[in-house]
Amino acid sequence: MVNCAFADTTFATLKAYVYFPKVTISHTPIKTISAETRLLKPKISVEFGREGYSSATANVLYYTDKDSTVRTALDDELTIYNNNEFYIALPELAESVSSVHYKIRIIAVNDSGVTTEAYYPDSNVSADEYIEALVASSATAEVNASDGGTVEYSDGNQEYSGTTVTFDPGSVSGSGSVIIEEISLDDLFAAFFPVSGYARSAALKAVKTVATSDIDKNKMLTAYKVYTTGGININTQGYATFSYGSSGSTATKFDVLYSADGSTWEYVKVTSVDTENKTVSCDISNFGYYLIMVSSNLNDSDYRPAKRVRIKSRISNGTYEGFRFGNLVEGDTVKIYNLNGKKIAELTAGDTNGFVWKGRKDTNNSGDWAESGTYVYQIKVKEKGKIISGTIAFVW
Amino acid sequence: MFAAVQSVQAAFVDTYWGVRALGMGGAYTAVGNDANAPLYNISGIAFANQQEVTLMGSRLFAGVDGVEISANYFGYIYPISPEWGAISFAWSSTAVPGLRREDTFNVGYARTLNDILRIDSDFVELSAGVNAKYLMQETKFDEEDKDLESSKGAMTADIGFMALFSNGIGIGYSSKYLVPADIGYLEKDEVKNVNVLGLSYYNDMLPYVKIPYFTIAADILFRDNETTLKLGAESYLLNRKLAIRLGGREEAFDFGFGYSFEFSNNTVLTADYAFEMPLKIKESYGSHFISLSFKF
Repeated sequence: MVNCAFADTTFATLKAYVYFPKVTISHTPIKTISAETRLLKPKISVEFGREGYSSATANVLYYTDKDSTVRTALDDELTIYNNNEFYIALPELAESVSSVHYKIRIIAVNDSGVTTEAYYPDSNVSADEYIEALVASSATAEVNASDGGTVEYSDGNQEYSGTTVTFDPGSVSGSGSVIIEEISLDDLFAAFFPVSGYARSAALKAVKTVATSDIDKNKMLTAYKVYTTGGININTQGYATFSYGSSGSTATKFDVLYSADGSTWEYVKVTSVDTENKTVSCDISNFGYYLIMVSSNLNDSDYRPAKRVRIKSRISNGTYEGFRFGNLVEGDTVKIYNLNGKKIAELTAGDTNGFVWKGRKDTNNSGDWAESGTYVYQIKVKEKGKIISGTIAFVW
Repeated sequence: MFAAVQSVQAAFVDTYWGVRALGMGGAYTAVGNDANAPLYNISGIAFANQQEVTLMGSRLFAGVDGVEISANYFGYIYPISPEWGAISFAWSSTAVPGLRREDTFNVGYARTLNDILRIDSDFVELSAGVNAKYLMQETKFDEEDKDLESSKGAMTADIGFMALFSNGIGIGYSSKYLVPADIGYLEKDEVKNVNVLGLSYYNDMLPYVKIPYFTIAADILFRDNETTLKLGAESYLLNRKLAIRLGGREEAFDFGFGYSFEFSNNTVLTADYAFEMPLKIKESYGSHFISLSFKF
């Protein structure tokens, strides 16, 4: 993280002082943008430096290798406040674009209405000194036996964590480059899953090795190839954290499958899941393909909301989101009934926030607030052909 | 049959109060004159001529895996005299173990009005009543909200009126939660006022179809901008020992029966059962209600 500070100036008059805000912008430069998602979404945090200053606005200036015109990511500036942490996404990049240069701009306003501008990386940089992010699908790092090493692949979206593979000292022999390559699902299907229609894999957990024809294509989220161009052998194991943020999945339970060549796959034990940063971690013992999927071994509790009591005001002020129903996909539904048996709300696929009941009536939280009460939910899981029910309490 | 209407109700508006009433679909505002009556229309107890106590237990939405909800009700009425009227005590509770419960504690008073209004005719009997209620909700909060008090309670009141005509027609009106009762944990959450208009018709032997001791009833509930229609019917067979009941609303239909055992000292023990089949909630074997009532 790098901090840049600008425009800290005080003008004295005989009877009054006019303070200009000191604006500190924190941001970790994005070096790579996924060739799959083609999304640059920097995470930015801003401090104004002194109390008493009012709001500021933010935007990202950018140009591409195909269009040298400097544009703004947002048509309307984003209003921010002191100590805000926020994201600004550029429009999706065209297929022909291979690099983006960008700069962050903050326009702060002091109490007297005087504005000052601050930039990251610098106010004075010329356009060719903007931060450069390359559209890429891989990242490389050197790894050796004595020091180990870490490869980091960022997809350009800082709302979620990237993918990393780490080898501790002594865990490998030899030295050379280790590469993480993001594999598009289309490429994966074309190479290894050419037949349309795939069997459910729910019953296959007991069998370690899985044929490609037994893997449910609809559950695939993202895939990576981890390989070496040098003479590295994995002696013990490495540690991988795979990002599935680009999939937009709201699932909470995942499988990781490994294949050396794509012909057969085997389950790798998932060591942790971070649904906030959208990553799945596991140990890796071999170079090859790693496929991240929504788990095919879900039980009823994986669909139920983890929190059974939510309070209206704490949903409305953002303390928490509501009742989140996990691992549901398009075609599944959640219906909410009051104790008179009246349906008061319904969640369907297509809700951009996933299946979260925020205490509002009608479809996908489109109505007024529901009243305090105990409610019965019924989750219809299309794939399983079953209904999962339970009770929740929504109070004011 | 149950045309109409919208009913989006939540806190303190489920009406699982008394098995006889539930067997009639909850259409009880112009019917009740027993220990089931206080929470439907308190004025009905003015027509009771014996003490009565009733105790109900239930299981809602049985068969729905993962759903365990019970509704319980206790009612007691004591007719003091025609001049002094009748009093009642009632308690109802709807609970999900480990999650949330709602309790209503109720004290009621009702009296006939004919003498006060100097109505000598037998054409109509009038009554009025009032309830004082304490509403309490108790919630088991998750970890991040554990700083909140789990219980919130507030007082409120109901009023009710009933007119029973000699031709068998009954009209009832009940206005519930008249005093704003704020039960909110973090913000104002007043239980909404409910106005119910009830109509009923009773005949010892319904003409043409010859159904004995027949009652048919309808309740129309007005709450906020919502309206709910409830319909119900009842007949007594076997020299009034066996009761058969039917009823329903938009979300459910109801069926019930009861059997009374009469003892020599003018006391009556009645066992009642009601079944309610939800029409929207899936995989339920229905809600089941049983009660024992004793008149003495």
